[in-house]
Amino acid sequence: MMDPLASSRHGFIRTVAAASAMLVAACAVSLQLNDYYLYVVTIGAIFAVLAVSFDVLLGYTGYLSLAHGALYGLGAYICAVLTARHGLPFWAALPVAGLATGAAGALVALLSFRTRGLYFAVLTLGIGLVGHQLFLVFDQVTGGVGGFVGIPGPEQPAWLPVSPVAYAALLALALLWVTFVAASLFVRSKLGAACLAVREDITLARALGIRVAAARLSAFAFSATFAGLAGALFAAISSFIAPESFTVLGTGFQLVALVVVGGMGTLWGPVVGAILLTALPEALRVASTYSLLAYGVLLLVCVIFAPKGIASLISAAVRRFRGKSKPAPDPARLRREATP
Amino acid sequence: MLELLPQQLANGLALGSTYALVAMGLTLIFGVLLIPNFAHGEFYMLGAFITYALVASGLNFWLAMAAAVVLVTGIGWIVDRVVFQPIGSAPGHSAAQGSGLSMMISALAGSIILQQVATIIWGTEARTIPAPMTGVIQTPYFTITALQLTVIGTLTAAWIAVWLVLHRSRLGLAIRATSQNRDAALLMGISMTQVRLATFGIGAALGAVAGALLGATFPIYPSMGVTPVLKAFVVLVIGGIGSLPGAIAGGLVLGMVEVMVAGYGASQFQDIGTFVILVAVLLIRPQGLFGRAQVER
Repeated sequence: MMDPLASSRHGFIRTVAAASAMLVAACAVSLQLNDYYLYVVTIGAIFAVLAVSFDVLLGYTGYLSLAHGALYGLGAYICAVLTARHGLPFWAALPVAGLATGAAGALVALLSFRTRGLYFAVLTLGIGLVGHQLFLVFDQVTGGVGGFVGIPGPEQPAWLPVSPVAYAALLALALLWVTFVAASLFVRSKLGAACLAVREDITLARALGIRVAAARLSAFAFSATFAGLAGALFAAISSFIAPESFTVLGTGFQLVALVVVGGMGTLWGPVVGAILLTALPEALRVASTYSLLAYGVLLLVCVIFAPKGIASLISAAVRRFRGKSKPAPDPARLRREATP
Repeated sequence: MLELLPQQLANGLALGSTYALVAMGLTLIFGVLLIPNFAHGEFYMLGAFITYALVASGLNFWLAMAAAVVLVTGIGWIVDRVVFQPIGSAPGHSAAQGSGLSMMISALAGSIILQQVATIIWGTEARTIPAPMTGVIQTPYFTITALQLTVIGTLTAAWIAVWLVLHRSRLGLAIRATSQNRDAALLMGISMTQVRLATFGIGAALGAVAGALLGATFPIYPSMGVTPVLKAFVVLVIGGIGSLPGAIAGGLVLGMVEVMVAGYGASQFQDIGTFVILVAVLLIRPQGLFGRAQVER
């Protein structure tokens, strides 16, 4: 895993440059695609936003939350209500949805951080289930099981002569870029370093005077904010949302799968995971009866054959390509060798 | 309202018994093998569907249920072999948190695969198993159906059976030793293969029994296992992870609360009531009602 303290400002600039190059390339390729594949790119990018910000909590801080499916939904419903019912423009509703979801996430975090490990996972699972139920119960606001219809799309500036579908894809890719840069800033900051300390040894971190509570709370709020932004964009682009998009078993677990399959504790791993697990099954929807089955098998194969994620496989391949055959020293092995 | 209370309690007891049956298998597999088996709901679903298929082909319900339990036990072993063992033994996986996460993801994958296979075989429409018994028992305070009574009886029998296996047999001793300290158990020459087979077998069998019994009351469909397994995880946390009495008490409490909330509140708040209880228990007693305190390291 990357050590954010060792990577300098130079490393950050290089990360941003690489992300920007990828953004430009992805936008250029997207504009050549037909509407169906543009939709696949949009959904893939939204899930990549969710996965990258979720990894700040799961991979860098070490807490598995299953409430993020509901937080994603909260952002979507806030954006839907503000734009469709109160006539706010999308660009005003987007930050409100992000900040409100971040605040809700902080509240969930205050409740959940009393527990740890599997208990934390199950407590957030409970909160995620309650959230999903609330979308159903408050049908005056959310439209209940029938869904929320008629959400206005994001306003398109006149100087950008592309189709609305292409515009949606560009917006999703741009949000992914913002998320990626914000997440790399966060993990390089002092708070990010404190999060790593929480993940590695929370007692030691406390003993060293690291403000554990502030670190993990900010990691949770960070991931919730971007989940809210992703939800708001999803609502505006789809123009229709229903509670079934925000379930624990569907979306909540999907996020965990994206991050674990892609590679925990790296920021580009989750992007790879999102491409592989959301875009690929969509693109291969030819045999639709078997597509979920294929998804399950793909997930199983990934977890069994790439336990540390696709990111570790790619890193290993890159190392081999560059001719550095000697692998990075494994601290556990060094310790073993040091003990007589 | 109060005169309905005994009736509500009886209904809650029956509902809670099925939760407890599912949770018992789940807590056994988790407590002994440290596998968060999200595919457990599919054992439950397959128990119901295999019973359905055998009853539809003319078999007696109880014989069909017995056959389903045997078949699902076999499926449980296959799931363990294909889905979980490769992860436990692969070199990249240590006993740390990463392995638990991988286990969760592979359990999810296993659950999706089993659900889709069931969908391909049986389709998505809901079906019902013809009820094996229709009797109703009247008491001055409440009425209870013979089937509900059977469910409660089955839970009691299953508890006694599992307790006898765990505490009165060599195999049970091995299982308990493994759950206390896996490495020490291995050093004592305990066969991990036997322990795995027994644990997964018992767990899957309990799930299948619950599925078959509930399938005789409620409609069955390939995704029917999803909600029970989530509830069973809630039960696990309420009762304390890895504790059999905790699973049974947690299941019964959950069943009662759901019936009470649906009876005295509104039925759409039924699930919310459940999770309010969960949050309350975790805030007051984070290790669960019967759990040992987690040592912070």
